[in-house]
Amino acid sequence: MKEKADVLQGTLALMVLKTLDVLGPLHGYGIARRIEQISGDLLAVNQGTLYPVLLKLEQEGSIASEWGASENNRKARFYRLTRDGRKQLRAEARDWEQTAAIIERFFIVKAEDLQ
Amino acid sequence: MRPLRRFFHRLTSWARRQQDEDRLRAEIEEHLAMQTAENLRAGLSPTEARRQAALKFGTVEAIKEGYREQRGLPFLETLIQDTRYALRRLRKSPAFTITTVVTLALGIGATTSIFTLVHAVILKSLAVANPAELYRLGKESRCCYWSRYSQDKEFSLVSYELYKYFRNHTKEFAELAAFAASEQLSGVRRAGTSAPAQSYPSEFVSGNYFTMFGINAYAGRVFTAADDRPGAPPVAIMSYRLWQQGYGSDPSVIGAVFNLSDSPFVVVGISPPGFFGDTLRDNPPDFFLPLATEGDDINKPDTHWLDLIGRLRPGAAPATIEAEMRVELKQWLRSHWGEMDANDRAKFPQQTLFLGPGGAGITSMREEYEHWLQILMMVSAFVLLIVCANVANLMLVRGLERRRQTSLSMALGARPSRLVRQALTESIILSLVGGAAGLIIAFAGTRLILHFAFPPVFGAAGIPISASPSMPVLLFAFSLSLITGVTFGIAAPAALLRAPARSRGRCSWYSRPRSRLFCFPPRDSSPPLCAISSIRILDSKPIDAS
Repeated sequence: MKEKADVLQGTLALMVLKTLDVLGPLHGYGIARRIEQISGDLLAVNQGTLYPVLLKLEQEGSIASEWGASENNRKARFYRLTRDGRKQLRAEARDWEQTAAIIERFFIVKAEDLQ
Repeated sequence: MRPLRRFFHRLTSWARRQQDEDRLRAEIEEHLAMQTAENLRAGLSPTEARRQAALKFGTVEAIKEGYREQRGLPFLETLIQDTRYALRRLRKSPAFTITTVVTLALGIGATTSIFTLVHAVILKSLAVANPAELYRLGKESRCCYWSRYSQDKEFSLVSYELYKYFRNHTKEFAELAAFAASEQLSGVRRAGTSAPAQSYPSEFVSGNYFTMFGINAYAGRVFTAADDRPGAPPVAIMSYRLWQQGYGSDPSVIGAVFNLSDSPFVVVGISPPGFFGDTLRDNPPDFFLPLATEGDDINKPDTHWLDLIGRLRPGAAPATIEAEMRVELKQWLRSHWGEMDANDRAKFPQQTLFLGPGGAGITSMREEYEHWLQILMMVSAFVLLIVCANVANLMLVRGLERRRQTSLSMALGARPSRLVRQALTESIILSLVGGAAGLIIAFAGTRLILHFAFPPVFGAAGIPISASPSMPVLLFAFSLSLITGVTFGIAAPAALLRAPARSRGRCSWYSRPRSRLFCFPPRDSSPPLCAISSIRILDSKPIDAS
């Protein structure tokens, strides 16, 4: 149960970093919408879970935030990727690809292939 | 690097948590507003748009909780919460709290004060430089004179002439000092004053006495070899105690003339505060005088009244010196063959001597009290064990009595680890308070024991044992009680957590007479019985009442 939540949080952090990398500075709602669009229903359950992740990333120095005005002139907190964050994204993306590739190979392998 | 940065962030954010909380609220508000606007554009009614937005966001409180866990120092915050909770709970059951604290305090205090005494009398070295290098003549302490040229069992007291013989012939001693085996009381009056003479103990010591101990004067100077020659101007060294208490640390005392038993002495120095001479006794000397000023026994080669302590040269072996000194003793006795009577001559072949560690000085008090102090120490160790058993018992009973509350908390969603932590916090607080009270009792107890063991005499120095408790023992007794408290404090909730969930809500077995019976071992029972009873409690299977 706990493990699953950790995995979700880890992937969520990676999604946030990638979103900010692609779209530039964005407020929480914008990040949530973007992730929702791409991931389908992963975040649709609880948009709110995004905020603790944002805080953690900020504490780690991967992202920074400041108050700004949104597109329809509302006050909103904007998050942007820092240099550290960019580095972290690159490293984690590489790790993720490796892991995904390994897992994929395990799924492709059929019983007869091993004989 | 990253965890470190995170930690500092948490530390600073803990300080400005209100600000963070406001920021989160604002962000959530913005988020919901944007989502609501989006929903409105999609054609929903305002109320529905808001409702959908909230639904999509999730439970705000849970998210805030998650946010708070990321921010600040959750460990510290729960610790503060648990501490407050524990204090409140302890206040609500004063009988339990007071009993436990008093039990702990008495156990820790009594053990510590008794051991402080044991430490001072049996284990402690003199307050001198490198006490391990010191060796003394004689296995047992003797008092005070021994005449003629033979001594029973061992030759441990020496005459002035024999001292000089040993000093000049034994080269492995860097310094070999002699001092009178007994003190004497002298009527003391500062020259030129009309105040009545007061009597203070004084001791004759050789000129190298202070050099041998590696002791410097607190003020003025210590003796030199020149002070201890026949015809040298008579000088004296005053104890720090008398200087401070009798003369108000008056600097003019140094260089002043004092009449000791009607002979004038110039005080040339003050001995350092912790130094009480060569022997732990209840009236340490207030004046040290050179041997040469004794003027009576000093000229008699067959009057033995001096103890010897020497500092070894680096690398010298005590066994070699001992053998060498035995030969020297025989040689010296032979040189007095003419003066020896038939009895001395008959005992001559048996005459021998022994060298022993002298770091603790002349240990007559140790020899006298060692046996009793050891018994006392064993008794106090048992007292501490009984205290531990009692505390364990109290903690277990309390844990069992709280089962209903614990079950309720769990039913309301408290995490088991948190419940155990609360019990743990409570035990630790109890042990800390007990330990602090124990410290006070240790201070008072040591003072009391010293007062009864060595009743103070007005104007005299009194036993030079400090009443401040010995730290290692205090720590030991304290840790032992802490471990006991903690172990048994969490035993009960831990047992509850292991019990099957269905029976948790019921307190059926807790009221079972058998368990209760085992819960209260008789007060004088041994710790093993208590341990067995606690195992019984932990092992007993809950009976399902349904």
